[in-house]
Amino acid sequence: MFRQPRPPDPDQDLVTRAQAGDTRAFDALILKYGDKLYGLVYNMTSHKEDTHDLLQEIFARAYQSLGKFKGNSAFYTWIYQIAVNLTLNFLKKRKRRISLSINDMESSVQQDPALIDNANEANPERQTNLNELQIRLNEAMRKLSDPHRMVVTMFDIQGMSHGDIAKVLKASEGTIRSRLHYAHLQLQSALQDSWDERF
Amino acid sequence: MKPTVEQIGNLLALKRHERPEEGYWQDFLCEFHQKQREQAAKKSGLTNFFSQAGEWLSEMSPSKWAYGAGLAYAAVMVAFFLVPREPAKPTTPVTPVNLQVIPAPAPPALEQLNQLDLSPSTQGNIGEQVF
Amino acid sequence: MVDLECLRRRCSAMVIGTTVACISSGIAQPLVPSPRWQVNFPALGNGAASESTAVPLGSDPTLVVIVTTGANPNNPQAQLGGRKVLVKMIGHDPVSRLGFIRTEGNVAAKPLPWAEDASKAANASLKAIEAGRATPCRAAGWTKQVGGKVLPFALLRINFTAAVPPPGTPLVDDAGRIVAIVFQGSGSGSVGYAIPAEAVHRVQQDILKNGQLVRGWLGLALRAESPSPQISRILPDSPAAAAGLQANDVLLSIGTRRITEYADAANAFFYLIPGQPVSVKLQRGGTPMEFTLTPIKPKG
Repeated sequence: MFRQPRPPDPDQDLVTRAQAGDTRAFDALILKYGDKLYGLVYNMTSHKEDTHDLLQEIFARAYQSLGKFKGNSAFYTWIYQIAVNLTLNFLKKRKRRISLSINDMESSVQQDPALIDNANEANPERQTNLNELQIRLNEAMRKLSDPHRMVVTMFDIQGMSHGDIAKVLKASEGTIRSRLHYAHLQLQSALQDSWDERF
Repeated sequence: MKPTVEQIGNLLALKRHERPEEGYWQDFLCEFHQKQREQAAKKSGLTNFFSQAGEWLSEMSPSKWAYGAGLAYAAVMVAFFLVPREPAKPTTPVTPVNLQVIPAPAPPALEQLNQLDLSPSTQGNIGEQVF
Repeated sequence: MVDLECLRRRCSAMVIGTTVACISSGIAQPLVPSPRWQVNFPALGNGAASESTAVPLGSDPTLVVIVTTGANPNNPQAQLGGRKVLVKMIGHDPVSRLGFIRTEGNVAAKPLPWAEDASKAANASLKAIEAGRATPCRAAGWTKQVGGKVLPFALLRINFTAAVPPPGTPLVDDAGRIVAIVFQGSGSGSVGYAIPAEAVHRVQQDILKNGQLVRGWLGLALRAESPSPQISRILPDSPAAAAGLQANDVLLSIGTRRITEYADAANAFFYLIPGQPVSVKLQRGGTPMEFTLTPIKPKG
């Protein structure tokens, strides 16, 4: 959906209806893109309550600004930009330390039904090792600076291309690549002690 | 030994499956609608709201303070959404939101219907599904 | 020794394997542990091995199992009460993950009866039958989509009192009929999903007859992102076209299934059988209308 030349916006119909006051159409957009934006915000904040509050703000901002959306980009691109901006602003302002509750520490890997399916329960040790690795990875992600964590979230977790990330972050592709390179080096070092040859 | 970048990438890609718990979005929509109503109430005139609230409070007896606290909280919440973030521009009128939570429509990817697989999908195709 | 006659007077009897489990006023009173049918599937490629309880379908020696993601359906290893039994996989449907195995000889003296469907059980108290023990659980409605993804058919959401039983575990209603079988846990605590009896019957019918599930096709299109189940397109030379359905018609019901959203339609369409007429009620403009359509085998 970020490709050039851009295909028609698949959300055109819903957006037009939402702009005309159809709140159910906007609800449909929230439900459609909520999980993706949740992933973006949660991986940046590592805090479920902050994620929730930010998502409320993101969608409220999008709803209030819907009249200004002219279709120069796809709706998802537009709202993704809002989400990135609000999240980075939030992180700048956040004063308190992130203290992880037990809930935050739970690996969501454990909560994904399909991954429970595939988790090879005949080898519980492997599953334990994987969960510990996820925890170390989350810790390492939190230690990255906001810009570095953002590019890792967008590239590695959300699967965006360098070009699309560059557009959203208003940076050159070269800058994105070097940020990613640096971030990957940081993550490699952080996981060095936890890495097991079996992986 | 260090993991390779590819291995890091694979580990990170597992996080693609992270989702909020079931039912989250229903509650989210309820709260979103609530906030939009408060926003709409603000647009229809905060002054009226407070003056009426003041009259209402003066009529209450001992329990008025409890109500007053609740009202103050509501006022704070409403005020929170009044903080302008961008220059205000006229937008399309906000119609009263429907309290009914709309069940989630989903991308109709053929792959989804062809597999009873409870793993969340990362992407779905946009378009129609032929039955 | 147990007084079986006394049990028959006081309890509704249910049979798993060759023993009697007594269910009376919701109290499980197993007399002797019932042998459990356990079927193991090896891993497929990089997938994972899986294990399922097998449930007899009736008096003939066919049982239904769940073949979970990543498991190889083709080489089941079965045990009855811990004793190895030779079984053969008759067929497996990758959509529903239901597999059907057959064993030599008798499966059970009196298998559990099956309900036709789980329509009355959607919010009912049920019991999970595991090796002769009946553990209370409760159905908590239908799950039509997970993680924003519409399922090919609706599952029953079940609240168990302890850990989710293994896949394939039968869930019975107050009359002792199987209304669903456990599919898998939800990943959080004691909540799980179960495949309703009607889905088992639907798949069983095709697998045992054709070796694969053959959907009933109508030739109408829906857009999943649409808030209402409105037909977006009618395909030419289709049962829908022949019956006179039109784009923008809003579906109200398919057969006995009421449709309020896209996910309901996806569920209802799963149960269409080629050649079996079905009543379709819809709204055109403000006018309710009713049609009879006969699904065909999917084209292409």
